[in-house]
Amino acid sequence: MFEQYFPKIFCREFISIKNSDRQLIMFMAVVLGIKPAMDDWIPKERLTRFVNLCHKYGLKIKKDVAFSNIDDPSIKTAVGGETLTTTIANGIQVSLANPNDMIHVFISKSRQALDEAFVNGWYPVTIKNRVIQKPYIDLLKFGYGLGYPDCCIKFFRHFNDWRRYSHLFEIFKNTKGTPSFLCNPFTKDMVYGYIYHMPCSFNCKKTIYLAGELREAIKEKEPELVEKIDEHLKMPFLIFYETVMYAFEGEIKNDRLYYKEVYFIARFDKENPYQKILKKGNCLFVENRKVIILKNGKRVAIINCPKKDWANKEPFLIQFR
Amino acid sequence: MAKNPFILIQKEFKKIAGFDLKLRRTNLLIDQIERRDNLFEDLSRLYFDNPLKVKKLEKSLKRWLSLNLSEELETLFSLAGYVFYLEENFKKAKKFFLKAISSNSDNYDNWRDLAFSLRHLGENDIAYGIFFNFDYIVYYYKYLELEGISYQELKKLILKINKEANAKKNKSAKN
Repeated sequence: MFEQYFPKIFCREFISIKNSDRQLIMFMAVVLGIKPAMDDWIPKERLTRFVNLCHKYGLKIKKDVAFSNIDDPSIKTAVGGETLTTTIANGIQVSLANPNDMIHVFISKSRQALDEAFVNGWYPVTIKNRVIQKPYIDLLKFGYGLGYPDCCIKFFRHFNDWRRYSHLFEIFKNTKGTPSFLCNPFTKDMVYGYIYHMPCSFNCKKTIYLAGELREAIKEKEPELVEKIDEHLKMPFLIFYETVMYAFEGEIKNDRLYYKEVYFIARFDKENPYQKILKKGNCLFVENRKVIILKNGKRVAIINCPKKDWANKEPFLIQFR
Repeated sequence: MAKNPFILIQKEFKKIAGFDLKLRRTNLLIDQIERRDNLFEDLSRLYFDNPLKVKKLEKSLKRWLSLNLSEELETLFSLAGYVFYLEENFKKAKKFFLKAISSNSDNYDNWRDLAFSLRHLGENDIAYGIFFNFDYIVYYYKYLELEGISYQELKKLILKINKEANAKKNKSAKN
């Protein structure tokens, strides 16, 4: 599971240019005209190839700044470093970038949608040891430029606050009824997912419509890919917070997860604190902020998640249908 | 004794917005602070939830600015910049951020606010010039006593600094 996927034909070059399948589905969504715009990061040495690919599919492209020293932990010590959450990098001008620096690009079929995404799409970088964060209103408006549903943007505005909330847990609490696999955002940084936004609930109607439309369109071009995505999205998941998430080969029955294999599915493998512990067992359940792990019915480990002031871990189990 | 007009403005502001309007404090580069206050973020939240309240602030701003309060001008200019930015009137936002810079060019927050409004106006070369060389720009603006220069002159300065800085970086990369 979770191996890199190469499409048979449609947008196949995207992967060789990027050396990764990350955001392939979003690229397809823009090409298919379902998503108005997206942003991505392309190595400078392969930018010309990427531009040619965009032109081949009728897409317009706009460059922003280059990202250098990505994920260098010393960046966190810059002025404002504490405000950085996921990707951290030094920002440099494209003309000064090295071949392996990543260029932040925006792509769209329409000039207007491209400009709208670009103006609101600054991604925080450090320049001269200082984090340059965009105005908060741009962050909120960026979601519209990327085609996210209004209800999800509003929910994000309230709950994307790492000091006060676990955003994913809030989505879980806001879900009434069966979670739909079309609203599964956990694998968004891999190829196996139809959405790249955080939905307002795991059965948000607007998200289901959007993701369903995309699924049907991709199915016509790459039916095998759709089969694989569906399979991955319907696995059981144990979520701690946005950077600590696991998928399992198994099944949830009566609030207990019975499993064989564990996969870490968040972006940064270095923040994978529990895989070894989880592998010790074959069954687990969540109780009062604790994950209790069993092996053949006997308790083998407990993961405690006390309340914290930043990136609060609020574990929960979920399986989408 | 007549009340300080800025205190009256603060009261009126709080009545509309629901939070305080504090006197703007200078974010000196040397202080190593990302941003001095949360006014822009708080106003963004207000705009997102209740845009009519921001419209109301815009109406009051005209009157507040006409009072010509010398001590509090930077606060009112930046507030006006934020309100117009939120309403997507980036030309006016730029105008007021430039005025805020004229009032206090040492305040890095004024420069960053200007740079983002320029990004929205498509003036990317100037915006990048500020993002990438804010330290030189803050320094030379003050050193050359440029308070009140035209935007065209400021643009020239920013582009020149950016060109020189890039040439220097290119040279050191080659070495």
